[in-house]
Amino acid sequence: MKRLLNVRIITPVVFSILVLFFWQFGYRYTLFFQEPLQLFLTTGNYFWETLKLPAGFAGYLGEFFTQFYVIPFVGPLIILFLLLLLQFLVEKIFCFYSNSNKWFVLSYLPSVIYCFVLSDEFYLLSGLIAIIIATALSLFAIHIRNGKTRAVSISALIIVAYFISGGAFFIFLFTVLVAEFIGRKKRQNYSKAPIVLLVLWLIISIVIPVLIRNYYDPVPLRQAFVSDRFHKISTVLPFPSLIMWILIPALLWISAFFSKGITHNALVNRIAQLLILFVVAYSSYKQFPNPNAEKVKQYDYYVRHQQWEKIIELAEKDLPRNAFAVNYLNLALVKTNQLGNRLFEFRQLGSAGLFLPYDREHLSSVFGNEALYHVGLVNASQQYMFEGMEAIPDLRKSTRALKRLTDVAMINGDYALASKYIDLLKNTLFYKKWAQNAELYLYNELKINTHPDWGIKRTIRPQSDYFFSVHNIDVILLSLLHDNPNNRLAFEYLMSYYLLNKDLGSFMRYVSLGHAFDYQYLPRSCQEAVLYVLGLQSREAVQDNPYPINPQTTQRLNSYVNIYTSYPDAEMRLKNDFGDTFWYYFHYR
Amino acid sequence: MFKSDKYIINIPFLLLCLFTIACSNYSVDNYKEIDSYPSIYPDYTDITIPYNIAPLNFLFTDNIEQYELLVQGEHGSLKIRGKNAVRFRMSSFKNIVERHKNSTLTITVFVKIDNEWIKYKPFAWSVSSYPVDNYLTYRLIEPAYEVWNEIQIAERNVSNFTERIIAANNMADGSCMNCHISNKNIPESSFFHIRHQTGGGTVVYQHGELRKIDTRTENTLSAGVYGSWHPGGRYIAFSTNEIIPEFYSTHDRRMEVYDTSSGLIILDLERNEVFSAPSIDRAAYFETFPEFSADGKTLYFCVTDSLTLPEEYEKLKYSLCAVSFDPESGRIGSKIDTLFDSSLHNKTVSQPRVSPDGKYIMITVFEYGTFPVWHPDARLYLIDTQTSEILKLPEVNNNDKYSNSHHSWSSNSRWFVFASKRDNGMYGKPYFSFIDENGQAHKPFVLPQRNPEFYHYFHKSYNIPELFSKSNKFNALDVERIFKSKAETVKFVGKE
Repeated sequence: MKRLLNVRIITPVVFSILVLFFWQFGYRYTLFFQEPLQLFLTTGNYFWETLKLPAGFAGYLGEFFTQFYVIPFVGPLIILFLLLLLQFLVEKIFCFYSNSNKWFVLSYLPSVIYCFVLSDEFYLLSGLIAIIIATALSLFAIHIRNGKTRAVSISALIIVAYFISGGAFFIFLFTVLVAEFIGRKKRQNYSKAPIVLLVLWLIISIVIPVLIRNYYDPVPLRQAFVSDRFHKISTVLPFPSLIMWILIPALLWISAFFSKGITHNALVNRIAQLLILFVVAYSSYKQFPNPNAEKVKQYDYYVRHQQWEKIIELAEKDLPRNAFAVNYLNLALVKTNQLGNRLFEFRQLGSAGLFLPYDREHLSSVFGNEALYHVGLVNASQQYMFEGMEAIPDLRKSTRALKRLTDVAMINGDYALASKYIDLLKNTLFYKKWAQNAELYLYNELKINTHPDWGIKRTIRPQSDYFFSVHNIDVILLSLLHDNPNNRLAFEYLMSYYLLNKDLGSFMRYVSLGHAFDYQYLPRSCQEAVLYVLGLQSREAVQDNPYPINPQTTQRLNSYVNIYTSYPDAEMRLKNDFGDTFWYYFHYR
Repeated sequence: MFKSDKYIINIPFLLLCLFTIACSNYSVDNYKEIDSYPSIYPDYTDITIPYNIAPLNFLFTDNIEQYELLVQGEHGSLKIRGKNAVRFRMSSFKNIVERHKNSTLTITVFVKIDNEWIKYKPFAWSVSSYPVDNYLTYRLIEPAYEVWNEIQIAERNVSNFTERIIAANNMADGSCMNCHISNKNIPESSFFHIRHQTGGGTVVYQHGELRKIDTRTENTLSAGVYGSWHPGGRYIAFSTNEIIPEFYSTHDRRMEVYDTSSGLIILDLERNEVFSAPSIDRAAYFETFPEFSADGKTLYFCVTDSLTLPEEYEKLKYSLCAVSFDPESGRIGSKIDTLFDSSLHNKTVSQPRVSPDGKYIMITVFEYGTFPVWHPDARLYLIDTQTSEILKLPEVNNNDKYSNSHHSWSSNSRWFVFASKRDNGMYGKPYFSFIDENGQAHKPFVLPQRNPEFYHYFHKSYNIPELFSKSNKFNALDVERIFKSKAETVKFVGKE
C-alpha cells in the first residue's frame, strides 16, 4: 500500500515538475509568441460564429486558454492542467476493464507525447482540448450500462463529438467500437450491440463530415474529417494528433487483454512502463521542440516589450546566427545608440540583418515590420504587418498585428480605420485597456503629436513619396534623412548598410550627414571606415581629417595596418584584437 | 353563403385597420424634438430602396438607453422598440415595404438618452417598384497588398440574409480567384479566374455546365484578366496584362497597381479560339478593361500611350474608346472612337460597364493609373450613350474620400451596385444606388446585414460585387472538381 501510495503521488509530482520545468525554463517564449497570433473576442457573436463550425467548441476553448499565455507562468500551468486532465481520463480508460494501478504509469503516455507536440508552434492547444473532450465523451458513452440507452447515446454522441472536437471524434468512435467488440467478454452485464449498429456508427462517422462539407462548410475532404484545430496549416496532416486518435482506443484494448499489466511482477511492470514512457518522451523531445526557434522567439519577446538591453545581453552570451535574430539584435543596438559602435562585434548577415526582405510568409513579415516601424517607415511597417497577419497559417487575426496596425493608422491620422481595430481590441481580455487608452487619442491631433511613440513617428515618417522596396533601402533611408535630418536611426542604419555592403564610395558621400547628431566622435565603425578610406589616400589625409574621430581609433588603425602588411597569417593574428572592426570585416568577411 | 364570403373578405381588412391604428401612435408622449437625423450606422437616411431588399437593420451610434421607431406610410405602419440595434422582423419589413412600392415610408425615431426621450427629424425610404437583381456575388478577401490567404466567392440573396459560398480557394490549393462576371442577357452564366500554376484557368459556367479554359497562348501576353461577356454568349473579351504592384510610402496612399504592357483578346467559346485586331492590341498603347455594348456590336475599352514605368506612373491617363464588332464574323473594326478623352479631362478612366438597356456606360474616373481601388479620388461617372454627355453622379459620389469602383448593373438597368471604401479607406463594402428615368442617381446604401454590427467585426473586403437575376447553379464542390480537371486549351488565330 505504501509503495502504491508512493507511485500514485510521486508520478504526478515528478510529471508536473518536469512539465512546468520544460515549459517555464525551456519553451516559455513559444507560448508568449503564440498568444498574440490569435484574436479571441469576448463577444457573444464570436462565440456563436466559432461554435457553428466543426471543432469550433474545442477551438473556442483553445483560444480562450491561449489568451492567458500572456501572463508569465500561467501558460505552463494551463498546459500542465490539461495534460493532467488527459492523464486522468486515460487512467479511467485503463480502469474500464482492469485495476488501474497496473497501468497507472502508462496512463501518462498521451500526455507525455502531447507535452512535446505543443512545443511545435504549429500544433494548437485546441487539438489537446479536442482530444480531452473526445476521451471524456468516450468514457461517458462506454460506461452507460443499459445497452439500448448506450446505443442511442453513441449514435447521437458521434455527431456531437465530431461537431465539438473535429477529427478527435475518431477517439470516440474507435473507443466505443473497441468497448463494444470486447466489452461483452470482459465486463459483466455489458450487453452486446448488434453488428448492424456498429456498421451504422461507422457509416455515420463517414457520412457526417461529408454532408457537412457538401452542404454546410465547404472545405477539402481531408479537412472535413480532421478539422483545422489541430495544426495551424489545414493542409498538413497532424500526424501526432492522428496517433492520439488511435493510441487512446488502443490503450483500452491493451488494458482489456493485459489486465495484469505488462508482466505479473509489479516492479518489473512499473519499470517496463517507465521505460516505454522514457523512450517515447525522448523521441518526442527529439522530434518536436526546436531550441533555435525558441531563441528567436525570445528575441521577439524582448523586441515586443522593447527590452533592448536584454537582447544585447542575449546576443553577447550566444551569438545570433539567423537573419531574424541578427535583425532584432541590430534593432536593439540602434535603439540603444550602439549600432555604429558595435556593428562588427557580432556576426552580420548583410543588409538582411538590417531590414528583412519580404518573403510572402508569416515570420519575415511580422519580424521585419519592427525595424521598419522604429526607423519611421510606418507605411512599410503596415504593409509587412498586414501581410504577416494575412499569412498566419491558421487564417486567424492577430492582436499583435492589430495593435501595430492601430499604431500606424493613428500616426497616419486614419481614424476611422484605427477605430475599427480599436473596437476589435476592446473586445479582448488583455488588450482592452490598451485599446481604451488608444481610443482617447482618436481625432485628437494635438494629443497624438505628444504621444511618446506616435508623436515621434509623425516627425520621422516619410514626407516625400516613393514606391517602397526593401531592395532600395539605402535610397529610402536617404530620403528619410532628407525629410528629417535628425532621424538618427535612419543615419546609423544607412551607414551600417553601406559598411556591410562594403560600399565605401556611398559611405564617404553621406557620412557627413552625421554632423546633425552632435556625436563627440562618429560611431566607431564609421570612424574605422573613414580612416580606412583616407588611409588609402595618404598619411596626411588621415591626420588632417575633418571628422570627429577618436585618436585611439587612429592608433588602432596603425596597429592593424602593421600586422596586416607584415604577416602572411594576418587574419589569424588580427582576429582577437581587431575581429570587431570594420577593417577586419572589409578584408576577411 | 354570400354572408359568409363577405365575412371572410372583411376580416383581413379589419385586421389591417386595427394594425394600422395600433401602430400609428407613438407610445412616447413626453419628448424633446431635434431638427437633425439620428446618428445611425449604416446610414439609411433618405434613400431609395428596391421593394425586394432585405430588412435595413441598423445601429444607433450614440450611447442610448432605449429607442422607439415608427415606419409609416400611406398603406400602414410598423413600430419597433429596443435598446440599441434596430432589427426588423423579416415578414414585417417585407410586408410594409412591398405595400409601399412607388411610395415613401417615413421613419420616425425616438431615443432615450439620460432618461430623456428625444425625437429626431424623420427620414424617408422611397420604395422603388423596380426590384434589384436578387443575387449578389462578391469576392471576400482581406484587403492585403500581395498576399492572400482565404478567398471565397460568395452569393448573397439580397432579399434576405442568406449567403452561400460558390467558390473557395481552400478547395483549390489556396489559389487566387477573381473577377466573377455575369452575362446580363443570359442569367446564370458567368465566369471567373483561378490563378494557379497547374490547376488554373478561366472557369466558365454556361448552359448548366462548368468549363475550365486556359486562355494563355504563345502569342498573347498573359491569360485573360479583365473580361466582358458578349451578350450573345459566344464571346468573352479579355485584357491581357502584365500587372505590377508598387507600395507608396506616405500616409495618404497605399498602393499602385499598373500595367507595364497590355492588350485585348477575344475568346470564342464555341471554337476555343482567341483572336485580336490591330485596333485593340497596339504596341505603342496599353489597352485594357474591354466591355461589349448591350447590342454586342461595339467593344469599348480603356487605352493610353505606353509609358516608361514606374517613372511616369502619374502620367498614366486612360481614355475610353470604342471599336465596332461583328458577332457573326467576329470581325473587329479598325476605326477607333473616343468617348472619354483623358487629355480633355486630365483624368483616367477604368472599368466601363454598359447598362443592359444600352443607355449608359458607367465608368470609374480618377487622377491617374488603371486600378482604382486604392485611389481615394476614384469616382463613378455615367456616359449617356446617345448624347455622350458625362454625368458626374454627385449623389453616388457623396463620400469625401476613398474609392468607389467595381460597379455592376442590375438586369433592369435601374439599380447598380459598387464597392466603396468610404467607411475607413481599407475595407470595401457593396453599396446600391437607384437610377431613375432621367438618369438621376440616388443616395447609395450599403448591403444590409442581419446583425447591424456585422461590418464592425468583419475584416474582409467585398470585392467585385456583381448582380445576378438568377442564382448561380454551381457550388464550391463543383469548383473543386473543375479545379482538379484538365483545362481546355485555346488556339490563337491571329490579328485580323
